[in-house]
Amino acid sequence: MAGISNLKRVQAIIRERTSNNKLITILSFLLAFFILLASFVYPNINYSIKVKLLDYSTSIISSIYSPINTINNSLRNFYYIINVHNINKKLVLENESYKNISNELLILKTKTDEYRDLLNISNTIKYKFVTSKIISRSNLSYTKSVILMSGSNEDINHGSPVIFNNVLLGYINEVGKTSSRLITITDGMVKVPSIIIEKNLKIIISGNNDKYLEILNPNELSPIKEGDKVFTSGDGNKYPENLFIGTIRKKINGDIIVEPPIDINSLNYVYILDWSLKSRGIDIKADPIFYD
Amino acid sequence: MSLYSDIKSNIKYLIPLFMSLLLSIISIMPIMPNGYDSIAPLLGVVSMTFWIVHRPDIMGWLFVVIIGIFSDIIYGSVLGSALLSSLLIRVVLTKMLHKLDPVNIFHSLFYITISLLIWLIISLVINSAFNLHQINYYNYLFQCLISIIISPIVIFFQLYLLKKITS
Repeated sequence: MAGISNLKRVQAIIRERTSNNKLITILSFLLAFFILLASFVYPNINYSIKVKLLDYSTSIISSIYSPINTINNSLRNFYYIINVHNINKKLVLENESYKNISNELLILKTKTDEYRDLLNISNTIKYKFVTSKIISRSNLSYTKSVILMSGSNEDINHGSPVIFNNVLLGYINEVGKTSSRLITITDGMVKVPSIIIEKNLKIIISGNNDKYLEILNPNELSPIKEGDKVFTSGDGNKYPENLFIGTIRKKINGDIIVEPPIDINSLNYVYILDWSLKSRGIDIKADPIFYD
Repeated sequence: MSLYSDIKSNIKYLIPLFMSLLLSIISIMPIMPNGYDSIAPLLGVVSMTFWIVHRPDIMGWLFVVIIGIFSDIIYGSVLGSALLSSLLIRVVLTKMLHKLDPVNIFHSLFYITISLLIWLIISLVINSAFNLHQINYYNYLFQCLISIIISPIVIFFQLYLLKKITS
């Protein structure tokens, strides 16, 4: 610290020199307000700039992410090794119950297929997907998004839903040539039309920049109970139907929330669905709200 | 003096910019334990504040603008919000520097707290413009606290760099 106190005089001189830049200050603030205003008025221009610069930064971000992620994963694996006995015990019990469920599911699937044939119901939409690597984490309190290592070069489209093991994670918000940004369902700006299948109750789920999701139509919450499973309803065509969103939980204060099954920060790879009209075999003019 | 030697002698003044950009990237890396990711420290803001306080001549308006825009791009926030925060931090800090001399770590911590509050309040206000209902204020608070707790590490590391630059 002694060396730093010797700098006091130098600092004072420097500060004197830098303090009287009123014109530059005003110009800098005008630039900031202009860019901010353009984000609302001309979102396309700002979007293009953001995406281009994100593409350029991707290689640097990726090269820093890899070693840090390796260390992080090693630490996590170390924890698993220490607790291997307890984890194994839990998994054996879970496996037993899954075996029973698996048999029941097989019977159900056969019956469903029979009913489908009898009722002559058309096949459900099958979609292609691209597996993409995550190269950043959702670490901020005011936005929930991660950068993915796939872009328009791999036919990724803006708005494509992103999943992992049939669990909805979010959608593609920005698409560059080699990178894209996944905005997660926990982000405050994301709303998902959902359904509690067992109760045939439609709800709208919203992120709140936290680990949990909130329900936007609380007047209809009376039939909801803790442990109910929430799925995408497919309304609005933004997301496919029947993707798992989370489980209903009750907070100590009685508020009902939805707990997502997967934390995006625990994943290394995700699946980006090709949800374009063409890939789904839709060739009629669709609702412009969602497809403009 | 040749162009090469001119570049060589001035390249050290890019260290504050690159340090702030690097720490901004590290903020979105897996540096936090599971479950605490959403309150990771804002290392880029801490670093930028450090350089504004100790060497405002190097951490000038241009560098602050670059850090602001870069932060918006990598964090995925509204373009211009981090830029506005960065500029506001520089204005507030340079005004305050005349009243309080930044010598010891406590002063640095005080300035960093002010900067983090400015940064998070601007983010909160801009987020509120989009979404009035769903805001978790605790995350903002804890991110601010974690950043303050972690900042001495960044400060001591950058004091070493400051000595190297100034010598």
